[in-house]
Amino acid sequence: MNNNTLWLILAIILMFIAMSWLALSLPSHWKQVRSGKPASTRLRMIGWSAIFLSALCCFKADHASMAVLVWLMIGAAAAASIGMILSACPHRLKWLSLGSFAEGSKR
Amino acid sequence: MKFANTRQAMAWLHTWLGLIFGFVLMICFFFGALSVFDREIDRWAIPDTRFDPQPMPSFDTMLLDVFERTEPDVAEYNRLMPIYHDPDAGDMTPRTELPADEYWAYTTHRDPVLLMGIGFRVPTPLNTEEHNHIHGRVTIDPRSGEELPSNSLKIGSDWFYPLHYSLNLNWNFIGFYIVGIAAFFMLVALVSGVWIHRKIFREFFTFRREKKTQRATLDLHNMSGVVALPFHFFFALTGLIIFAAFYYLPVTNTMLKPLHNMHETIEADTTGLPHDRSGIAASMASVDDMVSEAKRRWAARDMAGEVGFLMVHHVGDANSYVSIYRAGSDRVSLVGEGIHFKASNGEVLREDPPHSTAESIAEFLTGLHLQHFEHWFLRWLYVLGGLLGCVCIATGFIFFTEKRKQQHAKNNSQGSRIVDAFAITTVTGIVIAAVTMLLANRLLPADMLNKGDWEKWIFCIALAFSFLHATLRSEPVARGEKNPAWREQCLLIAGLSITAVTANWLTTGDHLIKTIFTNPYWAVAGVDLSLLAVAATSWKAASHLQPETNKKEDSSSKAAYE
Amino acid sequence: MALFWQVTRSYITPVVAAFLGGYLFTWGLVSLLISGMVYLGGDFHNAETIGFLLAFPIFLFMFFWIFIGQRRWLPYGTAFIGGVIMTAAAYGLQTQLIQ
Repeated sequence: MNNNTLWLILAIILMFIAMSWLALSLPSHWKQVRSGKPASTRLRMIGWSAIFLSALCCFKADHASMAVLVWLMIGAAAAASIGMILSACPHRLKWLSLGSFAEGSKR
Repeated sequence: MKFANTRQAMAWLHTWLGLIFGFVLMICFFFGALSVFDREIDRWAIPDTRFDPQPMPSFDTMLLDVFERTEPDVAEYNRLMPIYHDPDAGDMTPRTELPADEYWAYTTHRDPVLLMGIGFRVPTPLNTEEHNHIHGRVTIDPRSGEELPSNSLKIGSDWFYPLHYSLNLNWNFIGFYIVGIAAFFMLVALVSGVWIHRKIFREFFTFRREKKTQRATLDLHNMSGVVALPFHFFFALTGLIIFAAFYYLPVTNTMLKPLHNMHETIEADTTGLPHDRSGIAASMASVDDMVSEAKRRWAARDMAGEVGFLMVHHVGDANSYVSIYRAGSDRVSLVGEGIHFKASNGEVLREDPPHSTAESIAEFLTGLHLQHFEHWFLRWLYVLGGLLGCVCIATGFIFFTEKRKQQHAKNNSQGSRIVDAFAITTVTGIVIAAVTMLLANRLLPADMLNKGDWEKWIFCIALAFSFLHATLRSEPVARGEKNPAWREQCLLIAGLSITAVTANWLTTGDHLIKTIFTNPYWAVAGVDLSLLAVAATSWKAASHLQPETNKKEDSSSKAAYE
Repeated sequence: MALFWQVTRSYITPVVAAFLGGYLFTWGLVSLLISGMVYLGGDFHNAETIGFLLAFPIFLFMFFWIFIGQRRWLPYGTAFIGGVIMTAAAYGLQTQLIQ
């Protein structure tokens, strides 16, 4: 498995986690996973950071013009996957809704 | 027509234009998604071509021979020669005696076979300003120079692919224009859809499958449209840009044609690439040497590569020149870095300079649609995008019908019933047609005369059958219930897909154990695995679609879309 | 039959009018852009490319503006009259350049 493939796998993982954080930042989806309310701002900040890191990984893997397209399409695939998971088996995202992301938690 | 506000106007546009043009756009999106792997489908359909992709072979020892023995297309000659030929100059030159004016050869990193073409010129044309070319085309096995039999249809690149941009309706290019208008209204539907979607961010990840069909379908429609919004928008836009000059906005081919021609002459002077023949015969130097020189120059510029496209202009004339382009598989933009050689002595006439900003943007945009790049993962992501587009349109149809059919049942209107029948035809029907065509390809004898034509007819008949079936089974919709044809066609898809995979195994011996493990050939394995995935998905969909009973709307039933 | 004409008049005509108006405007703009840029010394192919890149977003905007615009005369006027003027201007410039 060569270098490029590893960077792409990392990009996919980061994007997947990013999308779940962004989804969980919405109260309607947080509710599906655990009680209480989410720390939306915090979750969105790290969510977008992960999306940015995912972009960096894409650019390490490919020529710039292809990296942009790969990044956008991974975003679409990840968002669709998270949407489907939230629809069918939301509890599987519980591990991503760490306690520190709940509103009112002390960090 | 007065709307209360902008939002209502946008909703009207989205609903009605989305519905009408959605039927065309389903074909564009589905067959566009299949076209990502069109060459691979060709390999499945023409077993003789199931070998590895080859670099462009020797021009001097192989290609020249093929060019010299290929003849102009009979149908094209009969259609165009009377138009091009100057009647005052005597009899029309016989088809087999037309002199060649242009040679071209094209290959990508995905093609085992090589596509070649010739532009034959009319010796005494009526209008000397025009190009007046009659064409011949041939596909060869680059290992031997042998031609592919003319009855073998490339189901991927010569049927599914042109289907998505022209509906294969070639009478006066009418299919191109229908698709063009549909593509424009797709952009309208996307913009209006975003405008009317109030909670676009809050509902980004929302799919409430447990709710009633109408709500669940709308959720899925919104999600599939929004998560891949850049994809949907840019594919429609770039599709329009690609054909703009020829079909959609032919400004420079009509009103500004004089300016265009003037520029061609100026360009010929500044680039040193002659626009016209000189009339003096000349022989051709070694093109293989020119190819080596081109590769050497690309490597020197730190972009070593293979030849993607090769063209000989003004064949046999002193003004003849050879253009050699690099296969751009490592980037999004199309073939580039052209180098042009004087044909008679191999001297370099010109190396194409870097593109202007506007041209680079255009190359990127068209390149992202035409996908010459070598990036298998991105290709599969493109298929996902295309299928998400299909989901978006299909759920749109279903939402339209669900929202109205109870009301229509009360008013005795047939509206929902008709829309639903068309929806079935353009959702499950097109899949049935595609798989039936592949199955027929395996069952019809390989040496059958006009095998390709038979396959095309079978595709059309299967699509017509789907429409007929959907219509004949549509009575329940007029009562506010589901059309059983959805489920029945899903089951049919599952059955046909498995049969097609089995037929491939039995007629070629290439079963999945072989094509994945013992003698890997991913083109064929990919098509087989995709067919199995189609079978599994449609089986699952069919199992969700309960046969109609007297029970109330089952909230767990989900409309099929595959 | 009356229903057919009613549907045509109320629904299809506005869509067709917005489409044709947008198209005419776009045609005029693109041809004037190409002729104009060449007249000012630019490269033909470059001008053509810029024209095609801008064409469809502009067409899209004009379509919405005509279909939804509140003061009917402004978008219709801009599209149809503007389109004709720009087309004529482009043709005129071409005639100048060909000489």
